[in-house]
Amino acid sequence: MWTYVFRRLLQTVPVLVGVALIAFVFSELSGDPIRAMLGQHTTPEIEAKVRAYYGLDKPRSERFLNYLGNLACGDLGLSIEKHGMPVNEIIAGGMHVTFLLTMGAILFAVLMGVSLGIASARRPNGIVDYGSSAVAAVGVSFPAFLLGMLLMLLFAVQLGWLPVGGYERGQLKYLILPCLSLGMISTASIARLTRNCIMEALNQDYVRSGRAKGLGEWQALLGHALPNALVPIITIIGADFGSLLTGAVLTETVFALPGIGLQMANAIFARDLPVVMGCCVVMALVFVTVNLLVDLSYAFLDPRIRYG
Amino acid sequence: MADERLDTGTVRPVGALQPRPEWWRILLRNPRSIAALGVLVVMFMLALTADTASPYGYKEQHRGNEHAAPGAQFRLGTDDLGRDVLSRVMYGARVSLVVGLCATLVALTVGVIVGLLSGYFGGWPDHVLMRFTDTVAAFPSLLLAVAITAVYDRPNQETWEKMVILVIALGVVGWTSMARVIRAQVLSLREQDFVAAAQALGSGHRRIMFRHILLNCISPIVVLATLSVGGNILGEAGLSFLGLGVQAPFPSWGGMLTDALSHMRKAWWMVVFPGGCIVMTVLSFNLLGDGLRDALDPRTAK
Repeated sequence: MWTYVFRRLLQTVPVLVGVALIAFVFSELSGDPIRAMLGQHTTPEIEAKVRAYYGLDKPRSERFLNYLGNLACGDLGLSIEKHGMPVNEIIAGGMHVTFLLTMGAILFAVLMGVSLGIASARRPNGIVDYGSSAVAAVGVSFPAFLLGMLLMLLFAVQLGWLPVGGYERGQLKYLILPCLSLGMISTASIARLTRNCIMEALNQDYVRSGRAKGLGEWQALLGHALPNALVPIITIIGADFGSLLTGAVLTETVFALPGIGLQMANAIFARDLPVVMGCCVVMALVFVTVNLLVDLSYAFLDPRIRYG
Repeated sequence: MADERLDTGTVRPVGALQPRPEWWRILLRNPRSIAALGVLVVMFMLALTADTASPYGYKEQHRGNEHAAPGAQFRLGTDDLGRDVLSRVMYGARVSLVVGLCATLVALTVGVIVGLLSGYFGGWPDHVLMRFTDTVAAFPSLLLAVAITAVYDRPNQETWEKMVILVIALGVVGWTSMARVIRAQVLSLREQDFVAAAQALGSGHRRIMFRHILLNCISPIVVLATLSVGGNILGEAGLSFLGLGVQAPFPSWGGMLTDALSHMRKAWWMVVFPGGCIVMTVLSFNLLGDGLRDALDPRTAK
């Protein structure tokens, strides 16, 4: 087990270095940020001073090593558009909202997906089954931000039940629609997967034996068949986490939720590249970590899985 | 005596996976595939005829007709600047379809080359290429595309320049899954007798790879490519929504939704029509891909 954990951790190193390298190369390719920042109203002296402040007067190789070192210490650099505000501060400010949003979306996706899956597995080819497969087909073709806009149009603009956007700390009503629209990304695939796993398990001998011993319908479904869907569901969550993160950028833009995604979108509009790259690096880091946890969780969820 | 030579006819490689000859019949028997094809034909017609058939220009503003509801004069209404939504949807179709198709082509080219080399040669090339693929695939996909487009984002770029950037960004992101699928196909194909026969006849690596192995991978490649066009159109819409798409005033479906965001109260049609086009087009590519899989690949058919 521990050798597996160690090996798996080692595998993430090239990925993380790759992330840092790509972020650095992209920042270099984007042209001279100081020019863009100061515009035309400047003197060479001021330009040199600002350049030195951001460490941009040093040769490229030195800057990359600095960048790597800073990254290893968790320092993402300075914002250009916000006049030297640390990128860390900007991202830390949005962490809380993005965390709640993604967790809420996963929760919603699992709840909806599993219940839809159970309902379809109980009556294969019934109305619910047919409906949920149609929803699944449409769901994968739906951009999360469009669903968010339609939900906003219905529940916030027309019916006025929920706020149109924005966020106040501790007020969950601001998160309901965003979590719903973001969660739909995985709901469809979780529903189809749960259905197939349960249907397969219901045909297995141990469920038949359980029924022969007098298990109720629901006990057989929830107690015996459902746990089989656990590992595939976790796999889906890990695989979908990337689209969940990018979906969060779009969803936060739609609902004006002040999370990392909105900071990133604003930075894109303002051409503030250090912030964009910082957000990318942080999200890639979260993505890699989540997938690591997903891989490691298998052994705990399914005792049959052992790592050599 | 030449006439009495043994007629071998056209020799099919033994064990090669040939699509059933009547694959298009199977495709057209599926009502979902027909509906999908119909929608796609309409979308392509809209895009192709935008210059002549669109009721107005894409940046033509009708003062005093801002937020006009769908009606006789403006079939799908107007936006906040009084521009006709139908015309803009038609021009926007060009961006979505061209970027979606070209990005798939880029991803396919890279994916085929990597997958073919990796699967055919095995050994250290396989190892290096697959580790590289894993590393690229470890990025959240659209995030990498955002990074690429954000870097090459300059004010006042031409529409085609923006489209090239979008194509490259989405292509760079999309090739990994293609490479993996093609590698898996190649791995099973290269052990087949017809490859050994080709080797025995003295064919070179290049001929075996492209003539014998790649041609037998065509079915899964076609299916995969069709399915990925939808994903690329979604990606383009997302990037455009973030303001990384083509330069305004040229419309794209994603960009039209950005404009709609702040005018939803007054004009629901600014959301529904461009959004509906995205969903219908992507859904059609996905359904067509599923239909093609059922038709071309009997083993995975439901």
